[in-house]
Amino acid sequence: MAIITVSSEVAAYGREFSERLADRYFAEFIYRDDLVERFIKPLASEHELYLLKISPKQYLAESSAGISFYDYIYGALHELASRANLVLSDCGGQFYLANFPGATHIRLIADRNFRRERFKRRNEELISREKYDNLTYRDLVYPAASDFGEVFDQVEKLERRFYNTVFKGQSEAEATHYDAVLNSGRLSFESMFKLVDELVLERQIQKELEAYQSEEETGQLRQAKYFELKNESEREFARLLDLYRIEWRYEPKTFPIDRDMQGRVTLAFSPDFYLPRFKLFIELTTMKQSYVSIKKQKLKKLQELYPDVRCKIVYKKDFEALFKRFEASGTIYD
Amino acid sequence: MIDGNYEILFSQESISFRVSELAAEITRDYAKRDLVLVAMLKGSIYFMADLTREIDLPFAFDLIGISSLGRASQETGIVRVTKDLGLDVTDKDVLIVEEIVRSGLTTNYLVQYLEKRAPRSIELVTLLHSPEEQLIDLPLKYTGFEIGYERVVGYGMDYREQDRALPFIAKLDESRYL
Repeated sequence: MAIITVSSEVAAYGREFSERLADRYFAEFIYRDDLVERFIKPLASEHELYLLKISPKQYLAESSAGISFYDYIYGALHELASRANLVLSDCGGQFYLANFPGATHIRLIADRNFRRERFKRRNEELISREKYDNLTYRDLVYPAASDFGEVFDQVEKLERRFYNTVFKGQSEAEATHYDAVLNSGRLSFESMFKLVDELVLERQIQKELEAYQSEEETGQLRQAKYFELKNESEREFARLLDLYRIEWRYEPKTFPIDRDMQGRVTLAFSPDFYLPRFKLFIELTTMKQSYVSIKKQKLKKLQELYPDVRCKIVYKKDFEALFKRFEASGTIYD
Repeated sequence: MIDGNYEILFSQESISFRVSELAAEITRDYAKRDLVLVAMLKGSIYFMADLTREIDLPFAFDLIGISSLGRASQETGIVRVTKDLGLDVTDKDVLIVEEIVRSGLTTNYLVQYLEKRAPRSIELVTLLHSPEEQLIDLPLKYTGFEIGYERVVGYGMDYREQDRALPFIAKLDESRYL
């Protein structure tokens, strides 16, 4: 699971970088206005939505859910981060998910003159009044302004005020909130991606180690999704599917394949994995030939009784060949 | 056939002939379409080069790199794109070029990645295909040759970066590299 928050100085390529990062990790991309649109809109009035756009204090006001908009977003993001890859861009993710296990927090900075020039160039395109209504909080432009350099200074000030208000005095610029601070004016996106990749992996390893250590201390078994899998081969296969971002279910269905005279089930087949995207069941066999024969017979009965059900047996040699290729090359070669 | 201690499965001539045939089929099928070929680094570059030289159509092509962080045996392994596409494939007819498809896991990862870019279509041409090993469905439209479980080298495929440039495809003999 990859949970990445990106905070950026104004016009430091934060959004562009974050969107590419989300593609890279097959993650949901959430920008500040998405938070409002997605989580707040169902419980806020039109007036409250407008206030949220222009006044950071509104985040601390009580919503119709009985808690502040800030607390509501906090809970929603934690719930989402527990089940999906996420990239949060310039929405205070580094604060909402400050201690979320496995989260990686990145800050993008760049030379101020560089950013100011970039801001001017970009916003000269947004000067028309009809575009004004579509601007985000970050893109607030004063229609009467003729000098976008001044507007840039104003936007920076507004950003500082936003974070200071919503996150109760915490400064977005404080480097200790982040795993890495990257200069997007000097680094290419490719090099920044590589750095983020390493950090994400390190965070994931740390998260797994912490879980293991705490379970050792309490004597509890791992509360990991691989726990329910019966043997190491199934766990390895599940990890491989996760590596390749293939969604799977474990033993989701049992198919009766033989009954007695009274209609009671005497033989059933529960394939190990189901891959929803491919509507395919997979049965692993990594044991000796005699057991493989039994499984093949069960599969044959399954296909006779349920011709619409697709099921494939992965034999020991396929399984071992797959891992041998992967481990030998160290990269994907398939 | 044995050549210089290599057990050749597909000779240079047979590869060349088959690539021409595949190119002719692609030329016929993709006429008047907006064709973009996408090949995965590094194994398919020889196939991609020879195939594209024979396609008699306007097309664009790009390369993508995919690798893994961590190991399959660890729970923390993840796959990511190491070299992204430079071309925009939105509304284009994408033809993925692979040198070999076995389980299909890698190719499927690329298909899922490309789907997010909203191309008009995604199909796949592979020089070698191992149907017995294929785990999952792929949009496989063109196949050069079918193979079994044997591992191979040559024509872009390597063993630890060796023998990639062989003009033929040979059965891998690991004892050669000791």
